[in-house]
Amino acid sequence: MAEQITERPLVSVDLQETEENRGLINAIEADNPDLVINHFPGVIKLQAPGRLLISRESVEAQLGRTWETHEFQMAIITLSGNVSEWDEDRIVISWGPRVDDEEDED
Amino acid sequence: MTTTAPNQAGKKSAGKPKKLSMKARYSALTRDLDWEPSYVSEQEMYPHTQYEGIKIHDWSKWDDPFRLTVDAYYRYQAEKDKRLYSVLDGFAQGQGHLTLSEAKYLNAMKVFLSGVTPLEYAANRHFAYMARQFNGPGPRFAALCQSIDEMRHAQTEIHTLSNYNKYYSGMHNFIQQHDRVWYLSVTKSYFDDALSAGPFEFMIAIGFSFEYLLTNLLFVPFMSAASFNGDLPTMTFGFSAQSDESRHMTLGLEVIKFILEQDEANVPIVQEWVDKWFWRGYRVTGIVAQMLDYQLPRPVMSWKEAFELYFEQQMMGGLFPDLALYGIRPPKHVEQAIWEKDHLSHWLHDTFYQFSHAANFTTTVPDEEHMEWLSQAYPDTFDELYRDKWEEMRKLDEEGKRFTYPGLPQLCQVCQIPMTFPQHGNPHLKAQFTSEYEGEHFNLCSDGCKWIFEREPEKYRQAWLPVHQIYQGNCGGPTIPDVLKWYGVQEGDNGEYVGSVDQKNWVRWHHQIEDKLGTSSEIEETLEAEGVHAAVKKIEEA
Amino acid sequence: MPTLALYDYTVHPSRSAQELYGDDMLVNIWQKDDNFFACPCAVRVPKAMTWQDFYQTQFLPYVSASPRTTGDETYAWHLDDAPFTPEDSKTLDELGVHHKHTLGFFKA
Repeated sequence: MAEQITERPLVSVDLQETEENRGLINAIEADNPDLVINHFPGVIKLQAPGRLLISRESVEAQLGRTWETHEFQMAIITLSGNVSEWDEDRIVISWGPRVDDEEDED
Repeated sequence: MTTTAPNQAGKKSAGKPKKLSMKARYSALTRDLDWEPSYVSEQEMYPHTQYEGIKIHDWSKWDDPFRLTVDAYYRYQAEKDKRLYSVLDGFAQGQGHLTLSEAKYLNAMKVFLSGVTPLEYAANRHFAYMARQFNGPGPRFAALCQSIDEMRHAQTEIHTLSNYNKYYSGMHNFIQQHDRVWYLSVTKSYFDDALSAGPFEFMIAIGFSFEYLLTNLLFVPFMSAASFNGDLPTMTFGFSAQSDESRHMTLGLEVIKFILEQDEANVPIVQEWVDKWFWRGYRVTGIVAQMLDYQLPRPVMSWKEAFELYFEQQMMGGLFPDLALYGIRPPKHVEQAIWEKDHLSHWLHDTFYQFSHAANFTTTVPDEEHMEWLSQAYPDTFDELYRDKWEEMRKLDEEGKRFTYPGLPQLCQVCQIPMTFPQHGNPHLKAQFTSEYEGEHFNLCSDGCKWIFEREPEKYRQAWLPVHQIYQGNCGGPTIPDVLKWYGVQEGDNGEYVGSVDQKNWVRWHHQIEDKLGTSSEIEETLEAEGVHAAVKKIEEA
Repeated sequence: MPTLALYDYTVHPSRSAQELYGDDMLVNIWQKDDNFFACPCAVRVPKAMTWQDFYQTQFLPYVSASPRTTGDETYAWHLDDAPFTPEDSKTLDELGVHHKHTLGFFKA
């Protein structure tokens, strides 16, 4: 199983390593068990095989306040992968074909 | 959109208006503001989106994953600026420039300010054009946001670096120098090439190839290095810009997938653009390679390491397998770029060293500790191929014969970089490619640049090559001093770092801070009479 | 593939054409067996300059600026990719050295 996972191309987000982002980083760590973490000056690089999830609920639990998924824009430096979902509850970064989402088909 | 308008909310019958979902809000605030033209045809309204041969059948299939709306956009951008400006203020008030790793660190910022910042402004202009010219409201709105972002980047970069301009040379004339200085034509012509292409090609050139494929190499290790070299403001503007950059990357990826999904006939057109713009962009990022490896007194990540992480792993390992589903293969000539990762910065910094008398920055031979770092970062190449020449340069310098190149360089017709690149696979022999077009002979640095030239020779023959223009008499006069005057280069901007105005000031200011013995005037005299080395020795003895 | 445009794009002239240099032209000088110089150099010379003058006024100052060569060495030549045999009294033009051509040299 582990081998299969590592064969999936890594998706990645780089975040500013600040006190303010600590809760967000902890939440991502908790929600993505296969996360690989690297530190560079001022930067924390989070990589996961195939898919990476950022969940509003987990971030709010870490921060103890309400958190809008839009706030993720304040923390992110770069990413590798598609933003395949972004709504009020979660952000998913993954590789793979685009998923058509019904709500936009108005 | 009516449910959120405050003046109507009160008129609703009972309770609070229901908040729209993020997707519904995005749709209401972007798509629903679009209209179909009635008194002109769609083609008359959007005349630039057909001639490149790209076929779009349904513009509504465009998706913006960020679901960005105007109100959210300005709210977050304002917050980003607020954070940046508080850092700038604190740094300026606290004489933060004195806490940099070394004055010569700022050479990297001089290259950045004159080479990259004007590109941000050019991007602002061209994304504003995209925001008018695309048929679909989704890409128009995304382009509008990017246009405003790019203006913010240009302004915040200028504002951030303006504090250094008060104390250090080489930054006072960056806009004119961007248009004139020989090596800056590399970045300028790259962007001009994109601006003068059609809207879809521009999106693949800048939105995809630059923002998605290559921009990480420019910003991420570089801003991390700013942090490592005590340059908090640059780190902050860099990361602030990068937070927009991830939106731009997403737009770049969205645009390529959207075009590819719209019509199979688009695939070969896009593939050629990916091939062309990968190589164009890659050649430009060579300037970053030498910044990372040579211009940072405290290097943090080598070009090779950055290339492996942000290009080979993320793009070759992640993006291109994904794009294969759409019929896109990795760019032509990428194998050469991968081979060059062990060499690139050494060739280019050698070139910068030999020509820094004609530039807006200073250079110096890397010290022993720095060479040791290079040797560890490049175990297969540095000691074998590049160390000896730096030792030779150091010896010449110690003998009072600091080497500067005796003439003007031969330039590549496409990338405009001096022809310093060796043949693919053979670091010992420089590459020379040629092409003929309508009876004229052209010189090119690589297979990649030759391929690009021969696709559109009628475009690249118009290139404004600095060396050719100097020889035509268009750059202030025939001699180097004439040209430097025309560049707006002043005393202290160029040449050797050791003994330069910036280094002398650095020694002077730091001695003043530490001056418990009251020897400032003595040091001052030594500096003037005997130079930097003697002054530093005197400080150490005290 | 021609440059795509909304109009006839072939009308824009070269900014490096020989005509822009009057009776002169640009020639590149490239040391092929040593990489001390970061790149080849470009010089502007009369088409009617003799090889001897070219050697004395362009080549020697250049090659002797490298700490690795003095100019006293004997050199063999290439014109672009092909072997090239200079003759002192002939002009560059007569020798087939034209605008933006590259003269490569290496120790014979």
